[in-house]
Amino acid sequence: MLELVKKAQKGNDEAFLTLFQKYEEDIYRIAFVYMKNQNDALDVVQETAYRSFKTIKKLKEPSYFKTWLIRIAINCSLDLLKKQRKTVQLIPEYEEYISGDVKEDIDLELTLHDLMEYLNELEKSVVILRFYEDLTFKEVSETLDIPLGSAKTILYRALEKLRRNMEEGDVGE
Amino acid sequence: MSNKIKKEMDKIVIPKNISERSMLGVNQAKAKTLFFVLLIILLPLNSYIYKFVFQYIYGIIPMTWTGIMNVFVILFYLLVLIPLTIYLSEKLVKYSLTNGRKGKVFLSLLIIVPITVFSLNLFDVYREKGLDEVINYRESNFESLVFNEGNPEYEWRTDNKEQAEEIRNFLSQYRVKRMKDREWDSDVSSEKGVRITVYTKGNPIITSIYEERVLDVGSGPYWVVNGPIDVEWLINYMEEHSQ
Repeated sequence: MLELVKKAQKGNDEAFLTLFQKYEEDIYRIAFVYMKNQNDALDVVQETAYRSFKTIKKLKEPSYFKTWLIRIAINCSLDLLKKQRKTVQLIPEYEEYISGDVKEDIDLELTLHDLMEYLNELEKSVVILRFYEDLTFKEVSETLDIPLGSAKTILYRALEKLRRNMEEGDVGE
Repeated sequence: MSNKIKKEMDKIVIPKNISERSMLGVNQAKAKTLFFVLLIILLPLNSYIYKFVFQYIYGIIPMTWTGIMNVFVILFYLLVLIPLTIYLSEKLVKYSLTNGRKGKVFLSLLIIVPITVFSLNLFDVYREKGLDEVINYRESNFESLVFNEGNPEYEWRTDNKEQAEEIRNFLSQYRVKRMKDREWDSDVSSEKGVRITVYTKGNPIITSIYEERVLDVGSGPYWVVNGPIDVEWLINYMEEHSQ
């Protein structure tokens, strides 16, 4: 893979495509969570391919290719949402930091709908990177360019939100 | 939790055309350039075809419809032909970028063929040629030849193919070269000349022949390379056969 990244950095579009197509499904799924429809998610895939191909020379560490790609995909999704004038939760200037561990292994009967509808963009980003891409909190905070404490807080808040919504749903039933 | 999220995310159905979109993304800059290149090639090409189609339609509709037809031609061009060309350019770029080698060959042909045809056509227009190539018609389509049509004093008409061929043979000894339209000086008073109109089954060929210059209604003005043309011979021929 590293060889392909180096080739792509030298402008080899076939090498880049081979690499990109390895992760395009992941990118599509992430985009779908933000965009909630196929057409926009495909637009995000296309735009991510374009932006990443144009900037791959700037990627300093080839082993971080996938994380770098996902960061671009998230940015593309947020940009498209902004363009469509849908509300986008910007990274807050101040977050209440959680210094300890966040209890992640909670028993939630989560659905895709919950993920898409109840979380804001930043919460989605943290949840996806942490649980779908299996990144560490440090990697999540670096990818999203937020402090480590914020990453934990956002995840905690997201999980709480999901739990609350599910409980409310249960009561409603 | 991680497994639950992954399980839910995996429920998102991946569309079949996802790789096509990735490819388009990578080639987006290339696609934009190609789109404009194709548009520049296809728009004149389509306009050219469009012109011929409507010239044919103008030929078969009653004269009273011409005014309405003019409006229709302009509206159709703006509202249908231009958008259609844009759509076609987009589709062709997409096809050529998503079909690997086949697409590249197709795209190359699409660019090279019209440019080659246009260049060859331009070369043919501006190359030195015989005057008989300017007044060019199939003998089997010949109907009549008229000298100075519209000028009763000097007009002469023949439907004799042999006489027409004799005139054409005489003219074939002269070589002409296309001049630019702006180089043509409409003051021809200093030169002797005749106007020859050849009626065929198609459009008539109308050519004014002067000693040093030729003006063909269809193809434009020419310099005579090995002039002056012996216009006197043509006048004498006309006088001889009109008696």
